[in-house]
Amino acid sequence: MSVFHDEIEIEDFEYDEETEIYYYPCPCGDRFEITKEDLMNGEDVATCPSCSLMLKVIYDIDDFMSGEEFETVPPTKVKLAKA
Amino acid sequence: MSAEREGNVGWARLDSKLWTWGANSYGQLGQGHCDDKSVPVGWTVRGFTVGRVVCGGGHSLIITENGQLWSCGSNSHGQLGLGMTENTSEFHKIDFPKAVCVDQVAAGWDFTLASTRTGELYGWGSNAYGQLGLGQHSGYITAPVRVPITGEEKFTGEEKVTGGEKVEAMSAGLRHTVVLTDSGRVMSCGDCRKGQLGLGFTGKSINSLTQVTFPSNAGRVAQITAGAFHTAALTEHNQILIWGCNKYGQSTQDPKVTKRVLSPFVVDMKLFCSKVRQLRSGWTHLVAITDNNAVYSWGRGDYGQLGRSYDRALCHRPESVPGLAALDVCCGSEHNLAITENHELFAWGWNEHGMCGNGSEENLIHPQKIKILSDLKTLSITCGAGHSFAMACGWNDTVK
Repeated sequence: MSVFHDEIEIEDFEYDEETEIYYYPCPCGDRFEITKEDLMNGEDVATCPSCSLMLKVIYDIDDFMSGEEFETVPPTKVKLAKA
Repeated sequence: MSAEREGNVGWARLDSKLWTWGANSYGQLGQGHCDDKSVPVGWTVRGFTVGRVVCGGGHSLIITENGQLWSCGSNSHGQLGLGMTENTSEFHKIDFPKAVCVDQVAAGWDFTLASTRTGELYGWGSNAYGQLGLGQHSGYITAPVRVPITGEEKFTGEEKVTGGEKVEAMSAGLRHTVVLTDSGRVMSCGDCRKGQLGLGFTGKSINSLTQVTFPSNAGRVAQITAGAFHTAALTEHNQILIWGCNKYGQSTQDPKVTKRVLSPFVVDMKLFCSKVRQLRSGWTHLVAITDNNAVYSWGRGDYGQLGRSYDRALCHRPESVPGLAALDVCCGSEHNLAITENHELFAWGWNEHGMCGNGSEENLIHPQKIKILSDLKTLSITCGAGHSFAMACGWNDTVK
């Protein structure tokens, strides 16, 4: 039986609009990840590609079932000009 | 994750060698590959003389003795400052908009800040939470830009900034930045969902450096250190103050009672046997060294982070690590390194990627000597989230 490294609310993940993946920092330096599709299917385990650690994702599946975009702060990929 | 002002063991010597080990998914060990190393690998740096190493989530930076800054590792958000977002497993020199001598560096999860000897502050990498203090929060920046130190001044994109205040020390958490200025002010910016900015609230991100208010009798802040979602300060009056996430008792308060601390909490210093002279933080645990070199730990301990056996219900109570007397300590996300009184190197905590350097992947509940370096005198130590650096020289090597 696996033990979760932590339980994290979906609002604390960073969302990448291009890949439709939610990311959260892993203590190893890599990132826990879970896809939007996984969440829509009721999955709640985010894994790290480099690690054995896992996160339990706390979220309301209704937010992902209605077809509406989930309200979070999507990082926009705007590069600022160099000073 | 912490950057502290130059100390007697913080800088390496000319004839010392750099050793590195642990997680290496992005090439953060600077060895030209991405394989984890569970025992330290020694190497001689060519092209520059290492002054000091600072590490972030998955990236590493070297301040050279003449004030250049070199970086390697994860570059997903431009945190290497190299004008690109490709990862690199070898150190490359960062170009600043003008010639600078780098003094202090703080590396967060995926962003970096550097101050210069003339008092300017630069930032680059992720700014998704306003952690670069540029007056806005979004996106990322792949090369150094000037950051206004005082919150009153707005970033214009032009060269203009400081009001004469210089950076004395700084530290970066996963998504927030904290700066100590030479006038004794503590400024913070970035994510504030757990109260980690100490500004009295949780919630919206703050995108320019904003002054943290301390109790008037706390004394001038001497050291600051950021955890994942908390921040801690040590004052010249031997007072520790902690604020932010308290999920694991980081603030020394019972997490069952207190979830978050929104303003600097005054820690009961009677918990320590003597005056505290160094304060460091991992992601969810803290370590303090007293002036008689006793090492205290508190916070999360389930991977051995505390270096001692502990009662989970009392994880918030600082207790000393038995048998350990340290000159210096540094914390990774869930592991720790310490230089003992006789300059030996010890490690404990999470070890899945070999960050404790003993060749195994078993977590270390108690500090263990890193044997491969036992014939050397350890001079300085640095931890990234899951990786480690040390500078060491021979016992008989003359210094300079």
